[in-house]
Parts: sequence; C-alpha cells; structure tokens
Amino acid sequence: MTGLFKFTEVHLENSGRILSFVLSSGETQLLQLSAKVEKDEVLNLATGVVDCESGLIEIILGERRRENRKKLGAQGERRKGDSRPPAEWQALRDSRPGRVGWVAGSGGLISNLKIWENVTLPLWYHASHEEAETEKNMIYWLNLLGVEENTFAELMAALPHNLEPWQRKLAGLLRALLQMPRVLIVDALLFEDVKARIAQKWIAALDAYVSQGRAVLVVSDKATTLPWKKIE
Amino acid sequence: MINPLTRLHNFLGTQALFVRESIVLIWQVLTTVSVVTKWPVRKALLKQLYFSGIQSIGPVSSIAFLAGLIMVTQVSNLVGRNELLTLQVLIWTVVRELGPLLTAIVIVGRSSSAIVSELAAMQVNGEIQSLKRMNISPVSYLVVPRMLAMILTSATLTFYFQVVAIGTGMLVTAWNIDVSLLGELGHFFEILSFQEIIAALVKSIFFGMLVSVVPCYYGLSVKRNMTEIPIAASRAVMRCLLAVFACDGLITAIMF
Repeated sequence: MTGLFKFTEVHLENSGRILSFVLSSGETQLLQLSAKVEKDEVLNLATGVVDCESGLIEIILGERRRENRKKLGAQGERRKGDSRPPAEWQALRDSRPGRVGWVAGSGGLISNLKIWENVTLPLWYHASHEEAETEKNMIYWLNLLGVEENTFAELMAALPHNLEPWQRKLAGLLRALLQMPRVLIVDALLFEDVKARIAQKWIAALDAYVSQGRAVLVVSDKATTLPWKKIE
Repeated sequence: MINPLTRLHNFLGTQALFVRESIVLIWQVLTTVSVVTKWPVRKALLKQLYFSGIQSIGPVSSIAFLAGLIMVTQVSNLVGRNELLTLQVLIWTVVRELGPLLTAIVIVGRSSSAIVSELAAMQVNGEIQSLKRMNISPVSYLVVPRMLAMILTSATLTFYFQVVAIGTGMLVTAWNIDVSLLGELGHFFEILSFQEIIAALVKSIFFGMLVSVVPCYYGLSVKRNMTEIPIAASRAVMRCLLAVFACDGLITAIMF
C-alpha cells in the first residue's frame, strides 16, 4: 500500500485539534470529529476550498507527472534554478483540480440541473467530455450501487427536487465515483436515514472503489457504526 | 444617533466597495473566459442564451412595437406631415437611446432578477459551497456563462428592438402621411450614421455586462439566510437600472 493523501500537523481552528494521518491506496478510514463546524472545516481543508494555516495537506503526485519529472531529471533538462529533487508528494493547493472528490451528506446536488447533468458535472468540468465512456462507467457504478437497470433513464432525467432524499444521496455518491478521483472524501451523513440494505450496497461500492488503488476518507461528527478503521 | 457625516461616509464606503467588487468580478470573468470551452460551462451558456435571449423575444417585440407606434404618433403631432423630420427623430431616439435602454430594462426585469434569485438560492442551499468543494469555481461556472449570454443577448435584442420599433414607425408614417415605404427606407439609410450604430452597439455591450455582473455580485454576496434573497433581488434590480442609466449618460456624453 502506498500513501495517497497526507495530513501533517494540520491545526483545526474551531477545536484547536491537530490532525496527522496518512491515507493509503486501497484503504478507507473514518475520521471522527466532535462537532459539525469541525467537520465542515476538515471538509473544506481536504477538498482544497481553504488552505490550512498551519500544517500541510499533501497528495501523491500523479503517475504521469512523476514519469515526466524522472525523464526530465535523467536528460538533464530540468529548468534552470530548479534544484528540487523529484518529490513524490505535492501540496494539495498545487495539485491538479479534481484529484480529490467529495460526497456530500445530502448529495450536494445543483438544484437546476438534471441528475445526468449533476453526475457528469465535475467529471466533464475537470476532464474531457466523452459521453460513451461516461455512460459505460455510470452503468457499472449504478449496478454496484444496487440501482435497477430499468430505472436508470428515469433517475437520470429527473431534477433533484423530484427525488427521494436517499436518491439524491445516491446521485451525489455516483457523481463522485464517476469522477474517479485519487482520494474521495465522504460525509458520513450520507449513510444516515438510508435503509440498511441500501447502505450496505454503498459501502460495498466504496470498497470496490478503493480496491482500484484509491482511498476514501469518511468524515463524521457523530458516533457511528460504519465499518471502517478510525483515525486516532 | 449616528452623525449624518458618518452616515454619508458609511454610504459612500459601501458604494465604493460595490463598485470595486463589481470591477473585480468583471476582471475575473475576463481572465477566465476560456473556461467556456468546457462542456458544462458551454451548456450553461446555451441555457442562459435561451432563457435571456429567445424567451425575451416576445416582450421585446411588444415593447418595440408600442414604442415605435407611440413615438411616431407623438412626433407626427408635433411636426405635422413632415415625413423626413419624423423619421429623423425616430432614428435618433430609437437607435441612440430607446433601443439599448428599453432592451436593458426588459432584460433587468426578466433575467437580472431571475439571476440574483437563482444565485442567492444556490448560496443559501449550500450549492455554491458544493461547487467549491468539487473544485469548480463559481465565477467560472456561474458568472462567465451568464455574463457572456447577457452581452450577446443585449446586443442582439437591441438590434432586434430597433428594427421592430423603426419598422413600426415607418409603417405608421407611411399609412398616416401616405408616403412610399421604399422611399422612407431610402431616407433611413441616408440619415443613419455609422457613429450611431457604433454607439448603440457599445451601449448594448456595456449594458449587457452591467445587467449580469450586478445580479451575480448580489446573488453571490448572500449569506446562508433565506430572508436575504428578496432583499438582494430588489437591491440588484435597482442597482442595475441605476448602473444602466449612469452608463448610458456617460457613453452619450463621450460619443455625442
């Protein structure tokens, strides 16, 4: 297992707590916090909305980027004055947008976009617009999330306010899975007020996701029975 | 009780902040305009063009028709059976002033109020926060398509307004004074100057920019409180109108 995402002595302003942990590929960890403001702060820090004032949040460099650095180093073509060794880690604020995904507790959907537009929004905003490929991946994830195939079209054509709360959560989760970020930050509220059978499917889908060499950080502000290892 | 001078100072400070923030927003849009190559932004732009442009054709047509009719009736009453002068006054007022102004007012009433309410509701519902957490800049995804659409819409609808209003005026004149419509058309191209076309175009572009940046600014300034939405909407509409008239005065003073 290689490290993917790292918090080093990150100071949380709201609680004074200092967070340090490493999230490795193939791993899902649960971060238990004491209050909603603290959770919001961690979500903002981990998704890069705000920079941490003290401490460091880093993400592993993409493979292509690492390869490029190695090649440049070998050929002696590194830019003048750039004497840094090829680093494995990169500060989150300097990384390419879209490498950290996010699943909101309520789905976090945009109300004036249909579900199809919502789920493809971050993917097509940060990467290229390939409809057939996206559709194929979407069917794969919808199957894993336990959605019946005959309801796909209806779900995708709906507006968020026409859906049940659990369906909005499902769409939010699908949106993040489809984007395939290196690290996925999940608000544990996602699993609240959802039938146990459905929650189990979602947990299994997240396990399948991390098995592809990715990592998931679940953030909660309440005591939870979610099955993942807690960050101490 | 607050000293009137302090109140004036606070008022001017707020106005200065609004102007500065609006200019910053315009600058951010201009520097990120290339984001329109991304599919979701392009789609948002097309939606805005439809809602602000295509759906405004009806109201703009009615207002342009009535404006042309009223103008030509009043001018005819004033100058009598003087076809050339009637046409001249019609062109001056419609091309130079009424076309860009009335189109902007229609857009403010229809689209600016909708934009501020939509963005404010998104802010209150946490959707802007959601975009930020997905690493999507609200300026790139929400403001850029709205501003581009409003500029395009304003320029096109202004041209359309002028065609309908002047066309109506010519038809009514031809009917009333019993002159040839083709003759009127010939006079029209003689009277109309290049400067007037440019002035109308410049005005419509600036108005389009103003009637989009002001509601975007107010919509995004709302905190997470539902009661702020109607306040922001009414402030934005008034500010839009004020900004449009101020800009009109400035361009008119510079160009004529």
